[in-house]
Amino acid sequence: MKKAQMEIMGLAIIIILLMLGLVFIVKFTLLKPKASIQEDFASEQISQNFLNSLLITNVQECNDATVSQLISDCYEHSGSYGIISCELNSDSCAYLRDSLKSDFFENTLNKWNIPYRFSIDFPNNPLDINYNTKECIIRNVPDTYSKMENAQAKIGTLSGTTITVNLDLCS
Amino acid sequence: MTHKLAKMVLGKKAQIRMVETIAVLIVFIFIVFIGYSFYSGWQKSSINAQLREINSRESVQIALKTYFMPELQCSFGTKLETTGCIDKIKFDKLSAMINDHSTPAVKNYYYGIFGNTEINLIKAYPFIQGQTNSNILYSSKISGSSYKRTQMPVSIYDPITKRYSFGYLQVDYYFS
Repeated sequence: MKKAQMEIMGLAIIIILLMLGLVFIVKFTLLKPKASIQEDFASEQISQNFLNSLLITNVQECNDATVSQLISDCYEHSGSYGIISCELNSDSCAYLRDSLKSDFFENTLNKWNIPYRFSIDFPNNPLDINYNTKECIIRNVPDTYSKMENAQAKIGTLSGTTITVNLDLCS
Repeated sequence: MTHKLAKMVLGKKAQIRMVETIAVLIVFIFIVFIGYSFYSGWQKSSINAQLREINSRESVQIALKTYFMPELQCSFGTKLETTGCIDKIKFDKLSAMINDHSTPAVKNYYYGIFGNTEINLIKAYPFIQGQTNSNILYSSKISGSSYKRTQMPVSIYDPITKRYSFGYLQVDYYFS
């Protein structure tokens, strides 16, 4: 083999080695690890189960009304004092705005370090209630989270309106 | 004389070539060694990831088994409530049976289902300060070993007061 051919062979080997190195770098540093089955499960199951359980829970401070009854009452009587009264001279809207987060989210999602977005969307009403953890404010952020799991529940009111309750978990 | 000189020059050239060949071989072996260490590191992390995945799966399976156990689920008449509801009375009764040391057969039966886990029902709301908000259903820990934790939000129904509380099942799956 001539000297020039040998040198080209050497160059080719160096390029192959560099490419292999690049493949390793991409594999270990740039590509994010796939979410484990537990993370997937956590997102899928926790969000829906959390919402289902939350809505049927009886709230002691509000004469044992369920959370869904409080949401409905808050919408029906927005602007005026709701039928359901709560402790410390507050009403259903005040409870949902001020105490629901500390009663239900502090000991669960916050404790488990799961970022979330919770919202109660009242149609044609500016009373909407939102709780967010700062890490999960922007929707669909593929750079930060591999997925965002959404759970939704609909609550019908006496006036025939449907209120939507959303819980998004970032994972 | 000229012949001797030519022989010496050729010998030196051959020596240089040999040194070159040895240097190339050393570099090649070095590269192979680095490649192998990378590969074995990658294999090791891949096996660890697979083990973590297996443990996670086991933990999730046990959480789901507990979640859908007819022994614990709320029932109204003959109808089973399937939306993540745990009957407080059923839970207390089953917990007492499993943790009763005079009837080891019960614990042995549930060991076949739960294995080395600890299952707790934790009440998150109403949370009463100074009161036990956590109740153990089943415990078979391996001391000093690692565990994988899975939480499942549930409603806790008290058939006496007919009230729903909010809590979660916490499953710690132990593996060595």
